[in-house]
Amino acid sequence: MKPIGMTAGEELDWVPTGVRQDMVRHQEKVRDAIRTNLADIVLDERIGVTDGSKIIQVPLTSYREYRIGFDHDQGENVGHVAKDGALGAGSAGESEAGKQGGSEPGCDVEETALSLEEIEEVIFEKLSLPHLDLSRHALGESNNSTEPDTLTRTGPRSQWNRRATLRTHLRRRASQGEPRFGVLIPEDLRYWLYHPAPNPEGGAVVLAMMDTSGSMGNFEKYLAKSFFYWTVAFLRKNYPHVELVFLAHDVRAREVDEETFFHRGASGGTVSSSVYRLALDVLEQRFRPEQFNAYAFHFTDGGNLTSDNGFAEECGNRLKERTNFFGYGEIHDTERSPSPLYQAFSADGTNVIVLRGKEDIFRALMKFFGPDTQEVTRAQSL
Amino acid sequence: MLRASDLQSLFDRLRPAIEESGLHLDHLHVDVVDADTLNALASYSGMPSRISHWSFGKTFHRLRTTHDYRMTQIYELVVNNRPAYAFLDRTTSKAQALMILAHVVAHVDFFQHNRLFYPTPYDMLTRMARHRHDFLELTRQHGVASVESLIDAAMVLMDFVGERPRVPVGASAPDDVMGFVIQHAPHLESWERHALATLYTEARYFWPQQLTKVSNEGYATFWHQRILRQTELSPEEAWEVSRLHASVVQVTQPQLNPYRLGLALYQQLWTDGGVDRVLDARTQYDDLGLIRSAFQEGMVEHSGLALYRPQESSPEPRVGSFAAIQSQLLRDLENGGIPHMSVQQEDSLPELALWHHHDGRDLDFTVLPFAMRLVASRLWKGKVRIRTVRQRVPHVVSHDGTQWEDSVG
Repeated sequence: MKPIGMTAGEELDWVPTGVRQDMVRHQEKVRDAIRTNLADIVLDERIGVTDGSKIIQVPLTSYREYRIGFDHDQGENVGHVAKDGALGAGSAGESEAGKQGGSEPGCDVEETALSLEEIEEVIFEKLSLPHLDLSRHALGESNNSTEPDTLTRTGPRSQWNRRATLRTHLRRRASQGEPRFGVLIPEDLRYWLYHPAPNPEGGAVVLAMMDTSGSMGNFEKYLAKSFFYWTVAFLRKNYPHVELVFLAHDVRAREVDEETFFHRGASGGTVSSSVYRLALDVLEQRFRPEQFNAYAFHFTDGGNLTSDNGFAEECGNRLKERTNFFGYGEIHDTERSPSPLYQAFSADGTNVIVLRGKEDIFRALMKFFGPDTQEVTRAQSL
Repeated sequence: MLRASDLQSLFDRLRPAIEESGLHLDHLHVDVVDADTLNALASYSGMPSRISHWSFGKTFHRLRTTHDYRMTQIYELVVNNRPAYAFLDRTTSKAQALMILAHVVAHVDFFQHNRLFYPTPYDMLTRMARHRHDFLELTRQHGVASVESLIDAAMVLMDFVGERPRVPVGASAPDDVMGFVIQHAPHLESWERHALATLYTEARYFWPQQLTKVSNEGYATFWHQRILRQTELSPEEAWEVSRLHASVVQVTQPQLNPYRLGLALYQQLWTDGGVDRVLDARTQYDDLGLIRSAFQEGMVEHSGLALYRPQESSPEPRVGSFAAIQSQLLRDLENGGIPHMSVQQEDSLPELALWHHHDGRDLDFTVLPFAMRLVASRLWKGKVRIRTVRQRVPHVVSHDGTQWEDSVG
């Protein structure tokens, strides 16, 4: 028998061909699955609390690998028992399962655990405030200034100011009686110091208006709240300086805090003009147009008091002129024609949307904040 | 840190014991790689270049995560190819590498002698790399979506490529569902048929490995133990080797550890008939054959085997008689743990009609509609029907790509 030949090699920084693309493709699939499952995530009770650390089990049915196999929830199979009934003798071991042969096809099915943050990242990735005018500066500051203005004795190498350092050096040498270039010492060094500058991003205010009349059933309220929940989360993440104003209305409108807005019950009739007037008042008194981009969103079931329709339309149009963007959403769980107010708004190019089911929430987010808002607006105004 | 140069001298230390053992292989090439690379290779079943598909990325992601949490560690990967290729983790110690090398050698010997592997191609490493190129070209011509969905659907059928290792050209065995679909699906385009045929060869290549998990791992574990006993080790090396061996055969209740069970089976064969019996078994048997010929009364007690109901949240071991354990083991390992399916085609019908050979275990009805939808919409492009049994009642289930039907009778 001839001796066994054996050779050995070493591969540094090498991975199988294409593994990166396949990982990227896998992540895309996960992201797609999150988007298609958004409604279920949104309506999941557990998410009602803003707790970014929470891991949520998202069933991502669209990206599972399906096999025809046995139902493992019935019958029995053979397994090992830890000796002397010592339960889990191997479970805490450092290297469970030891080795793995070269024949493992990855074919299990699983739910993917994602943190709220990861989900938000996927959902918010493409969202932005439409028609944002960056020249309207509001208060608030950031650290991203580009103009250095003072000097300091310590700092990063990249901010070393050679001219100031040389001047200090020569001045020190001159005071010692030797007005020539010598050896630099740490006391000679000068660095640029950057100061926080005003945020060049525009200031913005978002008015969240919600119908809390008695005709808003649980389903309608749920959809409206879910929409605003994600809107608020998105704004807080992408635009930390945005001001939020919560307006609830039935026959009358009032400004409420966030907690009340999301958790109060509903009663009374619907007069939409009341909330538009209040919105205009709030903008007039607190948010000057040259400083703030203004956005208004109104969600209702469309059951506006008939006698109010004309006035509501007029106020709505004034609000639309006063704001960068006015979105109007109606929630119907049944097939019925949209309200007169909806028709009036859609006729003159206001952004309108009808929500019929929970899967429409992502559609509404995309429509109002998505990348093609401008196109949508243009198409509708034609 | 393990270096390629170390491996040569480590192998030379093992060589006398290996050559005396009766193991035989032509040539072995071992590459030392990073742990992360090893995880990536494992997700491609050890192939340095394979077709591109998101599921490999998913597996890699999972292996990497579990590795980061120290839940799994892959020490070696062996590719069934000539010359045989193996990959080792750079972070293993020299003593560990001694044992892993012996383990690898036995795997290679198994691949090169076991009856089930006779028909597998010798040059699968290069073939797989060529498949990758072919599929990249197809993606360029037909788009990512259509190639990806074709692979998604093909993966459902890649478990059903027929049990018999060799079938005459042109004739397909009834249990070769995938082969039948490739030949007879009425609406496949020719490039799709071609691509499926490529995937079919890959499935056929991996299939014997499905059927020899216990026997192959048991064989390798048996020999690494034996070879290292005949190799001179320093006390430190002996300690490290025993620790690694213990972790390989350790019990993780309620799982079945193929290394542990397989080791016990080969030790039994050794007691019965020495090295000839062991080598004979590696040539002849798959998992079922090995259990039928070597599983003994005392092993239930000695290997600590019991019955579990996996549906319980923390399964309690239930003591079983020797006969009960043996027949359940055979059933668990039967056909690689995959249901028996065969084609029951009637020429008059445009449907794909399959018959599930029910053996007491029902199909998983939660995923069945989705799996069948993939086959119906992407491959057969028509109605797919399966005759099966559910909770002792005959069922006929079908999917035509849009509609799922489940009727009793």
